[in-house]
Amino acid sequence: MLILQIPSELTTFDERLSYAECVREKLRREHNAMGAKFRDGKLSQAEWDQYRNEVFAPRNYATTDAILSVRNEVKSDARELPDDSPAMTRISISDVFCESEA
Amino acid sequence: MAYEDFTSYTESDPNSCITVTSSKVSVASAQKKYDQTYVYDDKGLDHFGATFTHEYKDTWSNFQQNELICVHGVANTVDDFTGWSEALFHQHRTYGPGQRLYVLTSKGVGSDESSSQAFGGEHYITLERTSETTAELRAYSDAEKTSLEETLSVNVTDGRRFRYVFVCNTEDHSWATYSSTFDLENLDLNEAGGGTVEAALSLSVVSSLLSSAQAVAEGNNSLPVTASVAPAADAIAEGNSSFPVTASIAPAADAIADAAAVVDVVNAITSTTNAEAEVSFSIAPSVSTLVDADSLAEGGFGLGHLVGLATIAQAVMECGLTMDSVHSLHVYGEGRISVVIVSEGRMVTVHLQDRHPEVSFEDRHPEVSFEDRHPEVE
Repeated sequence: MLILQIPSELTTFDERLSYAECVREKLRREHNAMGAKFRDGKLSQAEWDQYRNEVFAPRNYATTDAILSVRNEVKSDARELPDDSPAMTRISISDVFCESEA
Repeated sequence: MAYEDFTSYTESDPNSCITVTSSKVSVASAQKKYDQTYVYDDKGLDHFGATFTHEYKDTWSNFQQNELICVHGVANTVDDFTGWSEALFHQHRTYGPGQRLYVLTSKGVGSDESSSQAFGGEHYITLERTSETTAELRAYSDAEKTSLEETLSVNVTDGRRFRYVFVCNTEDHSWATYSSTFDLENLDLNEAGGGTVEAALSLSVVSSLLSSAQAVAEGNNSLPVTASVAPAADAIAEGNSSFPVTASIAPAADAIADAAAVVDVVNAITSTTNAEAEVSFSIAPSVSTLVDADSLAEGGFGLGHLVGLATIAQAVMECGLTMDSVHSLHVYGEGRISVVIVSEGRMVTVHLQDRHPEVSFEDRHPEVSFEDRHPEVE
C-alpha cells in the first residue's frame, strides 16, 4: 500500500495540508494529461487502463489518506486545546461571524 | 455496466417534483423545505460494505441561490437527509450567484466541498468508499472519465455499513423555498444483480445447462432451454428434497430469456474440457445456493462442474472472505477457473488452479490469489 511522504521540514498543519493538496492537484493534472493522450490515440486502452488502475488510483488513495489524516489532526488538536490557550482566548464567538454579501 | 432500474425503486414525492424512468431520475424545482422527497431502494441490512464504487451521470441544469439537495447517497434510515444519522452522500450546494459546489458528506463525521465553485451542467461522478474509513467523490467532465475536475474526500466511521441507496433527497428545511433541478442517470453500483446485468443466470439455469451440455456431449443436440426446473425436480426425485426449488426458479425465468447467454453458457460448459477454450458468463446465486448446489450434486446429479461451483464458494469462505454473490465465472481449458465475487460490496477476483471434483477440498487450491478492487470486470 502506498503512503504519501510529506517532507519532514513541513511541520505545521497548514504546510502539510497545502503540500498534500498540491500533490492531489499535480496528480489531477497528470491524470488529465494522460487522459488527453488516450483521447488522441497516443495511449492504447490497455495503457490507459493500466495507468488509471495501477498508477493513478493507488496514488490518489494515498493522497486522500494523507489529506484526511492532517484534517483529523487539526480537529483533534482543536478538541484538546484548553479554554485558556492562546488559540482559544483569541476567539470571541460572538464576534467571529458576519452575514455573507451573497 | 449494470445500471440500476429506478422503476423498481420506491418514490416518495408529495410535491410531484420527481420523474422516474428506468435509467433516469429527474428532479424539477425541488425546494429545500420539502419533506420526504426522495427515491430509494432497500438493498438489505449492511449491503454497502467496507468498499464500494457507485458511478452516475449528474446533470445540474438550474442554479438557484442557496439551494442544497442530496443527489445520491447511501444511508441507514428512510428519511429526508436532515433526519439521517448515518449516511454518505453527494450534494449540490449554491451560495451566491455562480457559486455552485459539489459537497461530499459523511453524516456525523465531516464533509468536503469542491474548490471549483462553477459546477453545473453534465458531470460524470464516481462515489467510492475506498476503505473502511475513507471515501471519495471524483467528478469528471467526460463520460470516458479522462478529464478529472475534482476529488473530494471524507472520513467514514470504521465498521459502518449502509442499507439504503438514495437518488435525490431534500432537506426538510423549516421554510426555505430555494429549489433544485437536476437529473441523475445511469447509476451503476458496480455489483452483481443489477437491473440489467448481462446474462445473469441463476444456479438452476446453470445446472440445467450443464445437463444440456451433457446431452449435447452424448449426441442429443436438442437443448432443453426451458428445462431450468428439471435439475431441482430430478434431485428431489432422487431423494434430495432440500434444494430450494422455488428460490432458484424465479431469476432463471428472466435469465433464460436471453437466448444468446444460454448459448454462450452451453458453449462454455461444453468447451471446458478443451484447452484454449476461454469463455465467461455471469451467475447470481447466493453463497447458500452454492452450498445447496453441492448437496444437489451429491444428491445424484454427479456433475463435477456443480461441485466446482460449490468448491469455489468454500474456497472463498475459507480464505476469510465473505461472499455476497458470484459476479462472473471464467472457465478456461485445462481445469482453470477464475471467479469474480462480490465481497462486502467490492469485486474480488479469485483464481483457482485446480478444480478437479474428485480431489477433496482440503487438498486443492494451494495457491489462491486475490486481486482487490478488480477494476475491469468482464
